[in-house]
Amino acid sequence: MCLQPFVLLLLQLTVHIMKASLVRLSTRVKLPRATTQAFKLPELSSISHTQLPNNGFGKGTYAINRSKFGNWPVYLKIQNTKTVTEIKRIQGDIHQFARDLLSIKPDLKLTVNPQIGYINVKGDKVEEIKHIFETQI
Amino acid sequence: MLKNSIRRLATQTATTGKLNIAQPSSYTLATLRTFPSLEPQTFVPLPATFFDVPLRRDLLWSAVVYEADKARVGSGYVPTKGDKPFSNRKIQRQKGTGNARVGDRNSPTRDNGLKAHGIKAPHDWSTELPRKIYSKAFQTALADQYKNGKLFVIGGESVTESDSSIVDFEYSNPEATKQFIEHHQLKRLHLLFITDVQRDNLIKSTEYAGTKADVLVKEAVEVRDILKAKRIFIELPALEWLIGKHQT
Repeated sequence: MCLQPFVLLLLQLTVHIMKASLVRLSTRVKLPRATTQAFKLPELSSISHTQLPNNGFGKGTYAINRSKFGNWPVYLKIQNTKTVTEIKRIQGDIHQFARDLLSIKPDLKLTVNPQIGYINVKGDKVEEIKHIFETQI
Repeated sequence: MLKNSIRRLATQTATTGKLNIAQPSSYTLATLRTFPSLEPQTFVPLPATFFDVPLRRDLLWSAVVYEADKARVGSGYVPTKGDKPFSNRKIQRQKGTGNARVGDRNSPTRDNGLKAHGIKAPHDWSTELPRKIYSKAFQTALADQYKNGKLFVIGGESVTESDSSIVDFEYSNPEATKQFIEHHQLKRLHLLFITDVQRDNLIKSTEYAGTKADVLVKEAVEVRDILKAKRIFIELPALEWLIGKHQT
């Protein structure tokens, strides 16, 4: 019984070289559609007040998180002869972050975009900035 | 004004190292109420990534256009030569009249309402939108209603007999909706009731409000419905399902 989809798949592969015929269409294996899982809200008692809004975040503080695959949001941007290191997805006080970064490495040349939370650094500084993040965050 | 004064009371977050790293809030609170009294019972923590997103009008516009395109029936039908509304008879003989050569009356060059190329029904007007963009728009719409205090989450444990933790009336009489609207001063406001499963009493009773009240099961809710509503009454299981579906 459980071999049946596999056999059908083999059959489909053999008729793959043929153009879409009724035989091929009838042997197509349909994958089941994923059902929506309801989000489980946590218990009220398990929430701390520091996890709620008004926890002081954004007043001289900021957050830079790793991406889904565990990389820092630091990228090299090459535009013709211009080379720029882009630090993306900075939440909170971005100007404070720029000051902190300059206090660690005073020779960096920064341009701050507070609207979308980006900082552009002149030149290829990807490894240096990633090293700072690795050691400091 | 109130927001600013509350913000001044905000506490300081702890930071480590030379970088002042702190984590933003991960939850925000909503009041859990019973229906139809709307008496507050307790709080529920909602994810901040869903309910504390900035208002992005561009996302809302994309989602609304996508939904409106999808809702089009595509019944436009323009008659063309192929529909042959007239006879196939040649109007005049080929030679000898002194006039230009003509065929039958079905030609689109004649003044007969026919078009050379016309749209044919049924026509699919639906457009495409990335699923994540649509989900972001859904978040934005729901978060905006939440921030403006127009989202009423129904759930918890009922305290009295007439109160319940689901969005439904005890009777299907229109008087139930009438009293609900009068008691909560919702006259002339567009109401949206989002339920977990079909609630027959609610559907029957809200017919009294006509177009001013929408009753939708959780699967049928669109961004347009949320934006149109002035007050939203949603059951907690339905809200959990929508968060699960549209969390990116």
